[in-house]
Amino acid sequence: MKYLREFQDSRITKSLRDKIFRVSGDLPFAVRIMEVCGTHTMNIGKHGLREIIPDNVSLISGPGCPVCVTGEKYIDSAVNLAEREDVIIATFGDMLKVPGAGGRSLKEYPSGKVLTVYSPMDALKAAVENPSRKVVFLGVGFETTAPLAGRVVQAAKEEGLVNFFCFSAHKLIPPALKVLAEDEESDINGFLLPGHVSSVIGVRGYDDLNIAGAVAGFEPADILMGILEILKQIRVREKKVKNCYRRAVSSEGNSFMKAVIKDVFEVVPVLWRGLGKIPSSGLKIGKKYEKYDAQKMLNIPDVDSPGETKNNCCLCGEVLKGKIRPDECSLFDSVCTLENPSGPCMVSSEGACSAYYRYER
Amino acid sequence: MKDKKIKKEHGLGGKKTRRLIEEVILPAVSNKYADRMDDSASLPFNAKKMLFTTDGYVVSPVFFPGGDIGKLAVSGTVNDILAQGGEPLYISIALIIEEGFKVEDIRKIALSAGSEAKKARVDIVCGDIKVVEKGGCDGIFAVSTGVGRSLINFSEFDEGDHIIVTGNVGEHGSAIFEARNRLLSDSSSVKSDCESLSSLVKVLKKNEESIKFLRDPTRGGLAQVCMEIAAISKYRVVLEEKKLPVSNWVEGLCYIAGLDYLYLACEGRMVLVVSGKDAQNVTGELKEAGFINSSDFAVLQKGSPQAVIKTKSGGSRVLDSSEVAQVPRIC
Repeated sequence: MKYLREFQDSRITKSLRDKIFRVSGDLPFAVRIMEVCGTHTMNIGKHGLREIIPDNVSLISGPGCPVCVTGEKYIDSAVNLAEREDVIIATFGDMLKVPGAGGRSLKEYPSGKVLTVYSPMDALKAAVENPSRKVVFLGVGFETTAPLAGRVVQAAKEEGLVNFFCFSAHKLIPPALKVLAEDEESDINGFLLPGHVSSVIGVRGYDDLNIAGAVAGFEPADILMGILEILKQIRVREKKVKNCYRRAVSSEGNSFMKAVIKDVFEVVPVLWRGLGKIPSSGLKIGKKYEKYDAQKMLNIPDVDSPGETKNNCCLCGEVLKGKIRPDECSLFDSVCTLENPSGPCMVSSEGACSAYYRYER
Repeated sequence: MKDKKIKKEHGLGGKKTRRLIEEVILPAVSNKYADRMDDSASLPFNAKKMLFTTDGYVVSPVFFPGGDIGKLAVSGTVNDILAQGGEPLYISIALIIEEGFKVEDIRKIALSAGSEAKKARVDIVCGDIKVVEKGGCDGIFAVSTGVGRSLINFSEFDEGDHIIVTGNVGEHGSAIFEARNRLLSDSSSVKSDCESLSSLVKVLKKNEESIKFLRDPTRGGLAQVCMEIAAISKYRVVLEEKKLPVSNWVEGLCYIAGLDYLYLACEGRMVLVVSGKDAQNVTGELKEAGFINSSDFAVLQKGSPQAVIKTKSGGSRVLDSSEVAQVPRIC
């Protein structure tokens, strides 16, 4: 199959692996590369890639799973919304099982009350079909999902809907990476940058990042090529962003999607689970579309004030910063399992803990 | 049992199902046949052995690409008898129907069950109908029971045994998923593999000596059968990803939807464990018998009893044994 089988071909992966081994012999120190995106984490596990890279190169999972970095207060607010008789919640499936600070989650509600959608457009459809109810779409995601939600907000305005709202917790990747790159404890030497996000923001989106990086696709050959490019840079102490995903990512990104974001949202400081409050790292609905802003129209209290209540002794926050591996959390595989997750990194299908649980136990 | 209420996971046919049966049901009905917890019970009958099995069907949608609940109720039960090394002979079908269900649809389901029975060379010899009030069930549920004649005795597992699957994996689960979610722009090749495997009987009889184990990879898919083989045989099961037979549309759909075809149900495939020296032969005979995509994809090795997959890209990983419903109500 085009773009799948070619990029899993063992002849190509073997040659990349050999090159990685050659470069790794010249590295000045043991290298820690953070794969930012949850899909990278999953595919590294699924294809067993950790096993075929040298011992002096570690792959650390980063904050690139949107559900994982969503604060507990946001979840609590969503649950409170679901309690309201006049509200229908529309959300991507991964949000259902995430517990808030109070331990409650959206999965407790029947499917007519909390609607699982594959596309934000389905949320709009639900609003049309249920004129007497307020349909609230939980806008969780990065630069990849924000334009979809944004486009739906635009469509709601075009169609004059009055019962559709977006509760935006969208986040921007580059500001979070900047924080991580500068965090000494995380000790990251390079970033394997997320292919999907990069297809929207372009390689130029990382202009402010002062660290070795490679934008990579998601198949084994893509990931190995990204690792190789990062190692080559580290070998000569270079710090730039290489594009190893040219079939999807351009220098400037997707101008249409960027325009939607600009039109609908406004950039604000937001709270990331584990990382704290990061300046200019979130997207709230802007003034032009404030009638569709759930937070404003449905009086949802601020969800970005620090002082998160920590849910038991779950260490998802440390995992998200790359400070510990999932299996170094005391809950991992004892209290916290895929069948019965305690924290978001286990709940989400792209969370680091869930990837470890599935593929690396 | 820790759970106080039934969850979807109790119906996945894995650890949770087993716990429910072992801790709640078996203690109440225990006998030497039931305690074995095989898909079919092997019973003494006039100095010979009879196989006896039963299965419930709650598939949604009732009509899906490549089959319907009627065809499934025949093929599922036929294949359960085959998986115990037997030749299926007679089956019964009971239908539980929701008030308001269309008679025309029941006719279609009956015709489809009848034609599948003919193909599988079994007779549907008795049945039952119950109607429940609107909302009492979802459309139509079916229960079928089958008896068959025991044909082969399995020999012991050995190091170096091979595992063969008789066709492309994951097609039933994928077809049901696609029927519900319609993600593909071109669904012309989407089809469940739902089918009775009666034509396997010839190959099974001929190779009786080398067959160690048979299982139809329904709920939990090929992955679960491989993990089960590891657990029963106490050998390490090593799968080769590149040898897994998968059709393009299943691979593509799984990729889009984030599913794993290794865990998706088949309803018309059999997994055989055969001695290493006969593996090539048996695969050839299966292909000749019409199972053209049969593939010898795994071996049993010394080591911890786990199922491990060697990936196409040269890595490897242990198959995940956690139970999370990928696609519920597939059969």
